[in-house]
Amino acid sequence: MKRQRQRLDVGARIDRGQRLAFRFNGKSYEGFSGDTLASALVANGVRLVGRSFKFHRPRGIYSAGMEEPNALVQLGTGAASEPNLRATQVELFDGLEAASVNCWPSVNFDIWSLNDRVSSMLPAGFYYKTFMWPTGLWMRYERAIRAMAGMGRTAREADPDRYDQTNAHCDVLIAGGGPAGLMAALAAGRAGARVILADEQNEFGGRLLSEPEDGETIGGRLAVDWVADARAELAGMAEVRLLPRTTVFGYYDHNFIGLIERVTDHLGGAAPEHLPRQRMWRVRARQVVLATGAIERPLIFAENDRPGIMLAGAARAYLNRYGVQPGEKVLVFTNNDDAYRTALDLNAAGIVVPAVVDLRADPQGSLPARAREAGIEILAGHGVVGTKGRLRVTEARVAPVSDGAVAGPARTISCDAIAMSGGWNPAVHLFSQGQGKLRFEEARGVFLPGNTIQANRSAGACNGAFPLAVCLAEGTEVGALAAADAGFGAPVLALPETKEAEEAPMEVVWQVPSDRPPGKARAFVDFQNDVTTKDVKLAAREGYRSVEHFKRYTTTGMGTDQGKTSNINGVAILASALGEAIPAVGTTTFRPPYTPVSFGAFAGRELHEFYAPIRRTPIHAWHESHGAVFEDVGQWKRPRYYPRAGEGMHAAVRREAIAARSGIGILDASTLGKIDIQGADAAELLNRVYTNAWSKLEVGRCRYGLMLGEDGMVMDDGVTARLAEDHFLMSTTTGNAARVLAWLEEWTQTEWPDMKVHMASATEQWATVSISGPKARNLLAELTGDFDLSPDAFPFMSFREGIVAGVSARVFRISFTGELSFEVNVAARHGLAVWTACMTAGEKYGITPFGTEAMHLLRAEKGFIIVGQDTDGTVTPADLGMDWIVSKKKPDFLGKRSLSRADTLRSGRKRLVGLFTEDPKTVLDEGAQIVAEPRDRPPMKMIGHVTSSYFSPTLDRSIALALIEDGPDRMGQTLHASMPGRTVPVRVTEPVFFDPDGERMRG
Amino acid sequence: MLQIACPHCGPRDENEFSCGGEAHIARPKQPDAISDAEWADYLFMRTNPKGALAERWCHTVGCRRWFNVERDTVTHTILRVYAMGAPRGGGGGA
Amino acid sequence: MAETIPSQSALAPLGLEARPWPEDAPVRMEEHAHSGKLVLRGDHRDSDFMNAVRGVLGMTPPLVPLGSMMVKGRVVLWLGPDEWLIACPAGAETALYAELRTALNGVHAALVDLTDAQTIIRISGPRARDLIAKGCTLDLHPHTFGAGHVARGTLAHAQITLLQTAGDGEAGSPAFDLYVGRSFAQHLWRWLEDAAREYPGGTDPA
Repeated sequence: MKRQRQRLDVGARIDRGQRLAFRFNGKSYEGFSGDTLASALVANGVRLVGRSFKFHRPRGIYSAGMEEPNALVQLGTGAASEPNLRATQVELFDGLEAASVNCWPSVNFDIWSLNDRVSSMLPAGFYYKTFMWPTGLWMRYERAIRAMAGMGRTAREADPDRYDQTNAHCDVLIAGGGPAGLMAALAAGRAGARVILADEQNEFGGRLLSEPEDGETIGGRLAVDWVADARAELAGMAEVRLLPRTTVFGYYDHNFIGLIERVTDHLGGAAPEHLPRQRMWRVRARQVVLATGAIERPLIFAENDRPGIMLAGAARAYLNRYGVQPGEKVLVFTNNDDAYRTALDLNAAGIVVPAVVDLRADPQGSLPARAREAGIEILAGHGVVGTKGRLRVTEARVAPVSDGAVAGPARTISCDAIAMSGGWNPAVHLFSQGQGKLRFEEARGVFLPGNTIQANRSAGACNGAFPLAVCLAEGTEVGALAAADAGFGAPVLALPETKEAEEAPMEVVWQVPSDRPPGKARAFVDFQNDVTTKDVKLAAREGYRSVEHFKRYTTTGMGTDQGKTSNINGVAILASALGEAIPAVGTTTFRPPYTPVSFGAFAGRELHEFYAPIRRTPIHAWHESHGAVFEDVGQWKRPRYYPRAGEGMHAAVRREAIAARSGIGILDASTLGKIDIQGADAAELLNRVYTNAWSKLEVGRCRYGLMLGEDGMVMDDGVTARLAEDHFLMSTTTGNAARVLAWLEEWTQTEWPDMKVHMASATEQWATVSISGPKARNLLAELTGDFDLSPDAFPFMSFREGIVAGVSARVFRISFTGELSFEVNVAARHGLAVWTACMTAGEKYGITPFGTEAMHLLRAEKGFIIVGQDTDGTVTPADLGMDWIVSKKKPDFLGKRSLSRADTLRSGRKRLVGLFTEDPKTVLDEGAQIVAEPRDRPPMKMIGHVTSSYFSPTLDRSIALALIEDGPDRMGQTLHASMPGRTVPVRVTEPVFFDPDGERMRG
Repeated sequence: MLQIACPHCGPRDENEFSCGGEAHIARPKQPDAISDAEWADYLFMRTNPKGALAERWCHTVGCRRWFNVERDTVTHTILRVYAMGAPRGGGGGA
Repeated sequence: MAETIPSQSALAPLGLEARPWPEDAPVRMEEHAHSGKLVLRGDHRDSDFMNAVRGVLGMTPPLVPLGSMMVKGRVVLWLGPDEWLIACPAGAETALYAELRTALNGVHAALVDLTDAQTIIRISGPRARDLIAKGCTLDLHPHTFGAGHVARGTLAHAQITLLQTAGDGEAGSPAFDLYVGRSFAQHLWRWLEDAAREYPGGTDPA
């Protein structure tokens, strides 16, 4: 193949000095720096780039931008491979490898194109109608249908690329760097506002980049030179940030805007290692300017999907911007003047333009006049009514049309490309995403920005202003207004003079008539999903009147292109089939993202270890170096158990639990929440938030408290110590620390603002080393000479302050294991040292570190609940058998009134009991459902569930806690727990399995 | 992501705040003196309007202060931010 | 007091001294551990409270939101309308705590020593702002935030208190003290180190 045989020798915005080698569908090609993959393919004469999603029809490059429905490619290989990229947006780099999606085994011979032969059997809703029954089989059908449909492959390996995210604030964010956006940026930038100007293309200029160099002028300069000047001026402004290759993909509440910047995609293998592949910008903008331009609207005619048929503006872009011939003989088909520019440019480049087929009866604008002068034949009042050619278009059939019907015999025009235009649709997507309401303009058949509640303004083509002079004027005006609204007033900018051709009115045509029988010649509305005009009409006949239902039923606009070229035509044809006006049918809601965004970019840095913050205790490094297996408790990493060589979890937990019951166990309890409460009303606050009474607690003593929500359900528990008359230290469960502090703040700020009390989180100030077991006192005695440890001098539920292991400590004599326990709190910086000192001094007692698993087991043996495990927000103190902690004397506390509601008093509530399995070796699953009679037919009544379950080495049998309807009334009954594949008989028992009188922990 | 003007810290992203639900629902002074139905009304019943709603918000990661916000539940427009304890209609605003 | 046991900083387990940042790096980070941190709460409309605090600190704590004040080697950071963070040189917190406690006797106020609850990550260099912006939605533009400004927010999902210690003009580039909860510090440091890979010259946390 001759290299780049469709490439022109001069002109355009490519660098012919920089040759780039690339591969497409296994073949080697060459392009130039400045090319997109699509323009390089066109330059190399590659017409067939993909297959359609449903019928696998051959498709060619259709556009030159992000609206591309056909040229979807799989880029790269291996882990970094990415599917469904638009070749029209992929910047060419040396070594690029790409392949078509949707075809197997190859794009030229696609086995699934058989679907096309039977397409009359595959109408809209075919899959819904055919595969609905029997429903159980849908999963199997779906797999086969998906495989057939293709749509690229996701890499099986983890994405090796790095993605960055950043936050930004600005006064004016401008989406789109065409003439309107550039002017807006100049106006706002000169006023001193902080501006972000983002454009999805590699350079600013928008459509001006695709016009001929000797075309329009701005301020007496060639348009592209004016663009360069504007860009240079903006780059020199300290407060302006220019973001090329950056798509504004999402417009959210309160001017929160999502941008995706392709940082190194265009560099391929030459991308510097330190840079991320892409960066997501999360921008909060005071003001937004939308200058997103317009998307050319295709004409819908019979057999309109052959490779070589493309948008007229795209043909012009390939010619002027990339220096490639879209064809050798290009027929132009239009209902407006703009496509004449394409005809004129093609003609000037020496490309044969056999005719301009114009649906208008009498085009008389200046552009048609120039075409006539150039000797281009104009077939006014004509339309393309059919085409031929399998892998590329070879001829068009052109006939006179009037009043929506073919009005004469067709003639055949030979061509290898058709450049067509049905007008331009303003790109109102972002405006609509931001909750803006659209209005419909009949004359041009366009949806335009209407009312909005957000601080934004539209300018230029996206606002329906197509002439260059109007784009510049609108850009200037909205840029200045946006800056002023953001607090930056400025003198009005002088508008540059422009030279451009004037356009005469277009004629809206939604569907070009055909002389072919309706069943024979298909006219495609949505190329990506193969929706034809026939499908749209069928949907209307079948009663789909809502545009949202219509869209989902026919799949119009449901492809990766989200219907950029098909939505408006689809809506218009539906409206016509329903006999309604277009605004009455409306348009679908535009949702982010504007164009697809990689998952990697959304994930950003939040992967692996950064997926969520990891909180570590001051002793974490010791746990790690001693082989701890960690579990997540909230954001904390807590040692779950410390396996020795060859030990599984059960053996380790058994060893750890036995040590705590017979010698000493040591636990890192630093994660428990600690809230410092100070003030004259501190005790009163505790009275109000806990169920029991606090006023009489002596200084130096501790008390256990149960906290309820206003609904009377258990919310948290913990031990609180009275440090001084007006000073308490509350402990909370690990996962609830922030919530409890917020709860206290909420009540004191909103309901009881006069209370004299302040709270602060003190969790991280302390390292908490809990030593537990019969020898705990001996160990502590060795580490402190500061206070008397005898049971009388330092009783259970009290605390002392003094030196432990050489540092200031606060020691609480409290117990969660049921053993003699001391919680030694030291400043976090000393945590590791004190832990290590305990380990050294405790060696002779066989001191054994234990993790959360053994801790849970030990407390379950004692029947101590864990809030969130044995409770689930539907459990009252009475349900837990903890009425003893609910004060009968206090007039009020949070949740008290709810405890006398009919629902909390009723019988039949699930209440906490213990369970023994008949076989002592069987350990129930936590969460196992309990039934009274396993032989009942399903659905049988489930009367409760297991909340905690362990094998207790102390009792040498399994134990479980469960919430069971009227559980305490069922003592001694046999119930049944459902386990995978079987039911296990269990006996209801008291929920305290060990040392019910608490002699060990009080001793 | 809404932007909420904290009365102390200025405009910040919504995820710095926590929403405490509908505002101006006072806790009954004597819960024991009211019926189950009245208590249930306080506990559970909310107006859930389409349009302006007064809510309590707390600037959780900032100054940790609670305040009231009047927000349009359809457009998310924030109509007014006012102090805890101030009446809903008072002080100007919607 | 027999404090013979060495102090361990929140970031000590990362062994940062083995990975110094190049002098010319666009961003530099260091841990500033152990400086004293007391949280003070009280009502600024209560003259007893204000007089007691002024008597000890020799200044009125900042009442303007998001402000800070520095006197005699201590920085007082505004955290809320009734809440301040007093940062003082390492080791000075115990005496300062005692002095304030005495002065506040009988006054409605709260004072908590949270010296060990947080550490400070000091970030400086011309790209310091850009680095912080990667995980933090605060607007740190010089028009809205400058030396002496304080804000609480989140960075990489960890709660932080940010104090700008130098503006662009003074040191040639801005500097920030980032107060972060001790348990989050390693996460935050590693996150920042990863985010700083984009700025050549920064360390590579291989």
